[in-house]
Amino acid sequence: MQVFKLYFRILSKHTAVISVYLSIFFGLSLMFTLLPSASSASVFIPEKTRIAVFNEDEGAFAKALIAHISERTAPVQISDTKESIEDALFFRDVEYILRIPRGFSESFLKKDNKVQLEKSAVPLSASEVHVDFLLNRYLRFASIYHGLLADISSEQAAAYIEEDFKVEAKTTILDSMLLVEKSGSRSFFFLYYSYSVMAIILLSVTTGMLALENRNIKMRNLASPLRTVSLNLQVVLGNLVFAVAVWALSCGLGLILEKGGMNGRINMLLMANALCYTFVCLGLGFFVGHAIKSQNAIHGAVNVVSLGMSFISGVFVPKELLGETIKRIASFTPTYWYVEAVNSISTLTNNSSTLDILNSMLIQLGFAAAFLALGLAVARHKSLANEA
Amino acid sequence: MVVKTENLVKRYGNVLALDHLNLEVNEGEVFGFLGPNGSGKTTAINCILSLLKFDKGKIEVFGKPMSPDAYSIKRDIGIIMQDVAVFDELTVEQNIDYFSGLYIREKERRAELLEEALEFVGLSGFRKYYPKKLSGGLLRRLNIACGIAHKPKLIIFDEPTVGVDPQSRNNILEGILKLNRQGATVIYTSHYMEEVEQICSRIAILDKGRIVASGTKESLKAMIKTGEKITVECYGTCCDDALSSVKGLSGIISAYCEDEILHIKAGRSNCLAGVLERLNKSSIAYGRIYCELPTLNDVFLEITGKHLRDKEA
Repeated sequence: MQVFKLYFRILSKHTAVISVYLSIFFGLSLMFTLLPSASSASVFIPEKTRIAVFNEDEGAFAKALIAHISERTAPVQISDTKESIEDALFFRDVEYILRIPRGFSESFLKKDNKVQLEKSAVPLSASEVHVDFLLNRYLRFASIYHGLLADISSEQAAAYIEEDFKVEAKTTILDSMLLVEKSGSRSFFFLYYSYSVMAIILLSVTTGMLALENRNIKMRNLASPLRTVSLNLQVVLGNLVFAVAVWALSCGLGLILEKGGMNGRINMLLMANALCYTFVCLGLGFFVGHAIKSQNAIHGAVNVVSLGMSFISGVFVPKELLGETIKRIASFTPTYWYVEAVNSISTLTNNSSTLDILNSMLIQLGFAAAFLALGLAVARHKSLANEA
Repeated sequence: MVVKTENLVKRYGNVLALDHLNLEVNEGEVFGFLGPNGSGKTTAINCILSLLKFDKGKIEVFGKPMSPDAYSIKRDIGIIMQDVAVFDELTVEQNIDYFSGLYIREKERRAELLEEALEFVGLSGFRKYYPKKLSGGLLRRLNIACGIAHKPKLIIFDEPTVGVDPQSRNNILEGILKLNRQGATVIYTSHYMEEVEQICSRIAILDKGRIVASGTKESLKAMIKTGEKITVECYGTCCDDALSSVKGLSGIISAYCEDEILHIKAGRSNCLAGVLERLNKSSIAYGRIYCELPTLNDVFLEITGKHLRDKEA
């Protein structure tokens, strides 16, 4: 096992660089796993819409309506000019503008509908629906109280309504929702894994191969009684052991960070997906190791390949923010399919199908086989070039 | 017979690198492979080691046919390449141990051989050094140690002194002779005729993939017409007068003037007296006079019409 031991001796000389990649990966993973502990998913806090109210009515009913709305929204002060209103809506300083025209209170109480509320809102926005709902609900209740109790004042009706609205439905967050939230930190871990593992494995495999593929050393090895098959097998075994060790270490850390509070099925899928991607990196390392000619070129190739694939495939930037063209290009890289699988696994529920995930894993294994074949072709070409 | 090739032919496209090469290397000798760059020395070595496929011919090593899977034969061969072939990531002792480990499995035996190899090449004090910290000469010694640590019966040196300073070169040559005295058969390829003359018991001169002459250095020199070379330093414009005066002298093969120096090739020894007599008689002023025996370069020059090395070498 001379070559196998040699492989790890060569790697040990590059421990510092590999450690930097691992430390950054583990450090960031730790940080991102600990930060979301103050999760918003376990508590329900209603959203408050930014709203501007222009009250031209002096009636008590209008004042009670404003008080009610203000408590459930975030009031914003803006000038009552056309430009200011348009700018505020355009720049989303406010999402809803309510104007209470003079005589609204009287008209509402008389039920003649001569004076209506006026509104301007961001079209088709959730905030518009939300504020409309608040207003309609208040007006409906007010209408009921004033209809049933003939002598009731607006203040009295407002008090009754406030009392009614104090009764709130208890909000319980479903476990499945918490799992999706929890998977956020875990999916970061496995997304970032793709960059780290590619950088580490490319660096180590290409470094080891560059040393053994040196023409003079190769000739010395071939002139020795060491069988070529044995030599190649030892190199493959060295690469495989290292890659699997990196995978196991990373997944082990992932499990520790999650403190065992995870869905076993999701974990298994994430780990299997990571293993598939590790094989892709091995194949790519084998190809780049044969194609590259100097130690200086290794770091350049590692950064270009690992960072490039990670950026266009949505490792650092959510896929939703990437353009369609970029995504189409990225689909020709294995990282894209790895990220696709991680995203699918992270939102997996008990009833979901894993067919798409398995499909993505198979595509990754296809990439691994293609890179391996390319590496063999380059090796063969080099061998023939030396003979010629 | 340690190495025998019969009608070995190797082509690189349209270029004939080895042209029916016939070679015999006997046990216990230091066999020199002399030829200019591109003459086919390294190709021949690579074919002998089965590192290169050849188009035609037969190779036997230790009396058995050589092939890429002739592992029992490879076990007794050591190779020292022209370029240093060691791992930058390993120390001196790790490098030697790795390469000897390709031949010998037992760790204890390897440890003994490592010490012997370090001692032999004088690198005991540098055992923990990485190759990048070694000077060019020390690096060459490490290269040699990696090739001989397993104590092979046949050692092939492929131009091991290229780019090496004179002191390290002498150390390497002395080491080769020492290995030969310890029982190893050595094949030494070089385009430095002085080295080959110094250490080789038998020499084959290669040109364009063919052996143009072979034998001991004495027999090779005896093959050519030149018996001695006389060089006369002339003053002023007297070189041409000197040339006219020695022309026609018995035993002179050729003479010519170059940079006020008269070069004479004589076919037999003791021509010097005759040359001096002619110059004195003609009252030609001259400075120093040298008389040398022919070198292997003269042998190569006379056989092929060109020099073994470029002038700068």
